[in-house]
Amino acid sequence: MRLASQLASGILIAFVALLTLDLFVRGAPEWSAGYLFAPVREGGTDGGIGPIVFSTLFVTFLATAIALPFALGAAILSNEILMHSPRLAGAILRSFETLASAPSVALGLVGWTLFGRIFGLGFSLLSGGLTLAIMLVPILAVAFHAGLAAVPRALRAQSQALGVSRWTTLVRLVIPAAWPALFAGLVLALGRATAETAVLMLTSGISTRMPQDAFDPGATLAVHVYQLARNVPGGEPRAYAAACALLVINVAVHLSLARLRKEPA
Amino acid sequence: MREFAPGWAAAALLGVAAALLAPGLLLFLLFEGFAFLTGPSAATLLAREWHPIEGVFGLLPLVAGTLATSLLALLLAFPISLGTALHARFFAGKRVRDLLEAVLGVLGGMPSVVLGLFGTFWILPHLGPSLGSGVVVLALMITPTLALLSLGALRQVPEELLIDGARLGLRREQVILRLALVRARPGILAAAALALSRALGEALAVEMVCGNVPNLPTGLTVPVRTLTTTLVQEFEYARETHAQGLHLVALTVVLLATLACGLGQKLARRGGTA
Amino acid sequence: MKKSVLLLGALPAAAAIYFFLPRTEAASRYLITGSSTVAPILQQVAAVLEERDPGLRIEVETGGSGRGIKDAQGKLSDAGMSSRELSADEARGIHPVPIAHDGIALIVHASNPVTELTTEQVTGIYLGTITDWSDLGGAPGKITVINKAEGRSTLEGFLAHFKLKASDVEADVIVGDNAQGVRLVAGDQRAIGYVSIGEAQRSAETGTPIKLVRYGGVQPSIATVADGSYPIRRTLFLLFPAEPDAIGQRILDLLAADEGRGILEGLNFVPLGTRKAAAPQ
Repeated sequence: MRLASQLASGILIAFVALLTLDLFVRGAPEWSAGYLFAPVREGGTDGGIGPIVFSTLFVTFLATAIALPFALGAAILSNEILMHSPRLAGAILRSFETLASAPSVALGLVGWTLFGRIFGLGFSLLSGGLTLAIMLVPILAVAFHAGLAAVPRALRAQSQALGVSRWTTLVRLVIPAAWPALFAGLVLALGRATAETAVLMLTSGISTRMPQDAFDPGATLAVHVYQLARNVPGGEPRAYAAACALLVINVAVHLSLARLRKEPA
Repeated sequence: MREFAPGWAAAALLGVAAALLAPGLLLFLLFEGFAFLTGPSAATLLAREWHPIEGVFGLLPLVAGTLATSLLALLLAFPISLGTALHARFFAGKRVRDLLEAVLGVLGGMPSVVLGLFGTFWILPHLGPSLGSGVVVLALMITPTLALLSLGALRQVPEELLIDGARLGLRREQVILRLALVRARPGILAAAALALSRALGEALAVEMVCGNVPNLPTGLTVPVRTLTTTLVQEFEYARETHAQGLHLVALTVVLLATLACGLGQKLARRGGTA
Repeated sequence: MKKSVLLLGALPAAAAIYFFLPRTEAASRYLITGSSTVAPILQQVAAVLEERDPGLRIEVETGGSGRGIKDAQGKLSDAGMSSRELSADEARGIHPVPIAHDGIALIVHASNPVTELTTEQVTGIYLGTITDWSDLGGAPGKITVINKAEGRSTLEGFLAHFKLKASDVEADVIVGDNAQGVRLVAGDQRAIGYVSIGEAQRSAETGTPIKLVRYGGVQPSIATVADGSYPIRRTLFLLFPAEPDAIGQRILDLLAADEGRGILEGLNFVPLGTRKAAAPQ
């Protein structure tokens, strides 16, 4: 059994090594000075990815900003307000787990129909941000709930025994105490957001031009990789270059998460 | 001290809105597809072919493609994932364990398009655009989920159980097989169910290598299409009936993923009380 | 800790809010939707016009000829693009303006010895009755048949010309855009597909290893589409919801001018000489 499991790990490591090496070998040569900031040319086969980076940052920021209050509200609801109704709280959590497991392309379709067609936003950063926010809410909510739940009940009881209102307890004691876990959840969601492709391809579009406002379309990095790999003739090397950038971002997010976890609670 | 009512009200309102997103999603898809269900093409949902321009909207080849790619991918990923988890938990030193977790983390954080790109260059030339290629790429995608969750389940097996087993004279392998794996089985099955729900929902990586022809998956070399790749390929150009039909396609895959996820939750709960 | 985070978030938040104010006034935002075959033309036209007029913003979105027609009819766009003729129903209330001619060419890998196909052969390939290149005089190998996704006009044009039904076609791969088809054929020596001549010639000229197949005794090219000898041809249209407005007229003027012909020929389409909008139907 030892041999078999070692073999399995070996195969896994070999694959991932091959994958990352392949990525850099094919992609790195395409990088030019200022690649991250230069405008896109020839549909992506030349120039840099400046507008793409911008669109990615904007959509991610927008989606997180929209999703945060809802997720936090949900965590407060299930953990503080419904403290004495575990069944109801459980049902809410299950709803989030269900939404989190939903195929992202289905969410993308909903975003396209609801925000793009019915609301008339078409392909736009706004539509992308709204739809991505829907995707992030369950991920954030579950993480926030876990964060709040980890704070000992005793803390709340003691505070109230001193006459402090529940709300003040929540805002000034519980949330700060849960902050590391909340932040970790945020980082996790950001990682998911940058890697997400299907949702954004169907809502914020594939345009490589610098968006002038939130109503313009803009491809994000993951979408751009897909476009270069599939739809742009001669786009493969460039797809690899963009994929490199994406990988670097993901590793950075993953590393910071790992470091946060190692910090004492 | 007075309670800050608006604060609680706001939190409750936001929370309820958030909780209603999941049922809202299902209702929206149903609503959009409703016109299709009451229209003339509804009967074609059970047909064996998907040809929207001829008014035939058979879900069967799409569902078959989805199930075939996902289940086979799970089958392929299972030995590697479980093997890696076992290695990390029982056989590896700290350095190797950290390496494995890092590797799994990197693979897990990789956007699916990158894996699709990898598949286009390394797998497509050998297996062609087919079910087989889709299965391999999908297996790569779900391995981190499966491995990390299985590892978690194995870690939850109490140390005393293993020590007792060793004291009774069982060899390391037997301890693992008869005690740890049995104890962790619900958790591992839950991991498999969750990995399955992820596989069911994958669209782009599979779309790059599977051929996208709505065939019934009769063999590994047959090009196939899944519910999700159909959405990706046709969403933009679909009008009226076709578009409504696509919402039903989306609803189907959401229901399948929800079923798998629910199964996973049930198995996990059973494991927790074991 | 909280204060610094708030401060950190305030700046991008302010920037984001600023970004929300649509900077382009509605009057100078022009939306064109429709056929992905026609889109590259309008994208280049847009680039030229935007350079001359910095306040102008022309957005070109694909979605198929069907979308171009629908959006123009419903006034959801400022103009539509179509790569096929409109039916009487579809043309109601809109002004279709032909802007170029195009054709559909069959493409194979550059190394494929087969250079010409007859109607029967093409039909046989796509119906699955001919499965090996050796039956067509080429090197032995199973033919990889590439078809287009349903909803695309190129598919409809192809099926119409060869009198095939979508459900009878036996394909090995289904692609979406023209570029995908070109890429697949370039990557597979045994593949055959069909794409817009413009896209095919453009790729072949820039070194992509594909070649266009002679059909009906004619080699597909701008020339043979222009003189009408190549059998599978189609007209590309711009659709206006009413008389073309100021921006629309500027687009038409550009297309009719030398610069426009340059754009069209650069994309391997066949320019027309028309300048005025077609009479309302």
